[in-house]
Amino acid sequence: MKFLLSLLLIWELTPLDLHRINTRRNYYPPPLARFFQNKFTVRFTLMRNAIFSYIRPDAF
Amino acid sequence: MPSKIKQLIAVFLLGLLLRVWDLSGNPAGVYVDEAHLGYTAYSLLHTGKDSYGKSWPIMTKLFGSYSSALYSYLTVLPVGLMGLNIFTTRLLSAVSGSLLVLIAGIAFGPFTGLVIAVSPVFIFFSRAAFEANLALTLLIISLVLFFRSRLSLSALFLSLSAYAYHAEKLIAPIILIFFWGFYRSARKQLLVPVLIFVITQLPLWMVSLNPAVNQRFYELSYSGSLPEKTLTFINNYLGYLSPDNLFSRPDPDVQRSFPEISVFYWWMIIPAIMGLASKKPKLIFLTIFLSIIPGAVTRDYFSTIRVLPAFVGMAVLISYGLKSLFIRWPVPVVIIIIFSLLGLYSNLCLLKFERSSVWGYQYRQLAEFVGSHPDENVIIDNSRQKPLYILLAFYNRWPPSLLQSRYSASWLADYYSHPEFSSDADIRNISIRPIDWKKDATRSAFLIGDKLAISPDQISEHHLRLVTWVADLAGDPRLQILQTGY
Repeated sequence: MKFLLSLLLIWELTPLDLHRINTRRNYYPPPLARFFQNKFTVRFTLMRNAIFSYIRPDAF
Repeated sequence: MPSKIKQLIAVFLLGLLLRVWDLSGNPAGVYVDEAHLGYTAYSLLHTGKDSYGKSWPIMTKLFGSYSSALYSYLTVLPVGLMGLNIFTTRLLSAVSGSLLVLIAGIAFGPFTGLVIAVSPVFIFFSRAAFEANLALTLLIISLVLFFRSRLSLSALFLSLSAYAYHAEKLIAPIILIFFWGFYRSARKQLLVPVLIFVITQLPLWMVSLNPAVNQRFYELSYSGSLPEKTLTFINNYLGYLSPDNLFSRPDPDVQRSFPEISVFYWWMIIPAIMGLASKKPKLIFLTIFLSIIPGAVTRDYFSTIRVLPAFVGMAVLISYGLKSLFIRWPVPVVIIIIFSLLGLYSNLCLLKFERSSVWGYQYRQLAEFVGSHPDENVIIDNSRQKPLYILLAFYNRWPPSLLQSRYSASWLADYYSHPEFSSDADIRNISIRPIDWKKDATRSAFLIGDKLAISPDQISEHHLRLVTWVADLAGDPRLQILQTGY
């Protein structure tokens, strides 16, 4: 778990990412917004995309 | 009650809930193809003709191409019972998707039903009116019946699936040929089913002989020399097997995907690999490899809608791995499924708001405005949204005769030979076309368009008065309604 959390922190968030988090929070019921849209969820998506981009048989 | 039946009922109810919850509100709005399907059902119900005036068509003209009519025929019942609206138009797709969960659960076990019930791709295509989703369920019913030796019924469902969507029209005969080759010892038993398939397919094949009917395929096929085409085919084909496309990135078409989840959840790659290593029927691989062909022969890089049956095969593999994982570690598996459902909820929220303009939410409000101004000239710019008239007809439930009267008897006699399409329309007090500033700004009218169609300079130059902005669900202004000073 510690490893995963430290891995997540590698991804730097740009001002655009932070703006998007704020915008997207409006789309959820207020008590849930911070749970679904926060720095960790965005970092996780970035990490997921980065890792999976190495496994693309069509890219060769 | 046996526990397997209880599990199947639970999985079916979960699948149904994920498909019908807020069905008419999410995706917000209606896409033009959906409006076409719903309005065709409405038109068939009231006149026995589609919106062009063709009586009981085998395929219906879909703007510049032709689409399968089966979805509209089956939607006549909900539209007749509950009226024409978003819910009744999408209901058939949601029911098909829920039935798929049940059928897969019965055929391959509750874990397969569970994977199909919660996988994003199957939920997404069940939440909007996609003929591909109906065709998928019919095809899977056909395959399940085939393996249960109900061959004639299987052939009938296979034929129906070909009537429901273009991709199945291509793969249904290929599947039949493979079965013919696969079951050499039982060819005598296959004779009657093959005959049923051929006879029931004849009307569709006859119609498909018209080049105009295959216009969409010509538009989507790739150009170049044979080696180039072969390389493109291989590249496209591999794209449908790419873990990146299957478990991480959404379909690049924003109208056919959730914003942040892919075909399956990212963690499903682990049970997928385990499923590959387990003992499984070769026919699952056959289904996967054949079903990718309709997607690979078109130039779009990764189009999930064209290869849906392949994802069912993959879901079966994932379910085998998931079952092994669940036996060893039940609690972590349950936790990760719960987290995935939370991720799905998050994506449903994003889909509803962030993609509302893609799904034409603004045209729903525009239709209300147009409906409340029946006696004034309304000019709507259609530079961005081409077949706009069908959205207005859908929302305002225009009498089908209004649209049908635009086509002559001689045009209808040659119904399946018209690939041409004009998105301009003059219906009642409404003109849908690019704005002609010289003519339109000098008479009393409402001018409607987006920021690109009507610039601030044009507003001040022609002394236009802003009546209102039409926003999407996220609050971004999309259409401006202006009134001329005359």
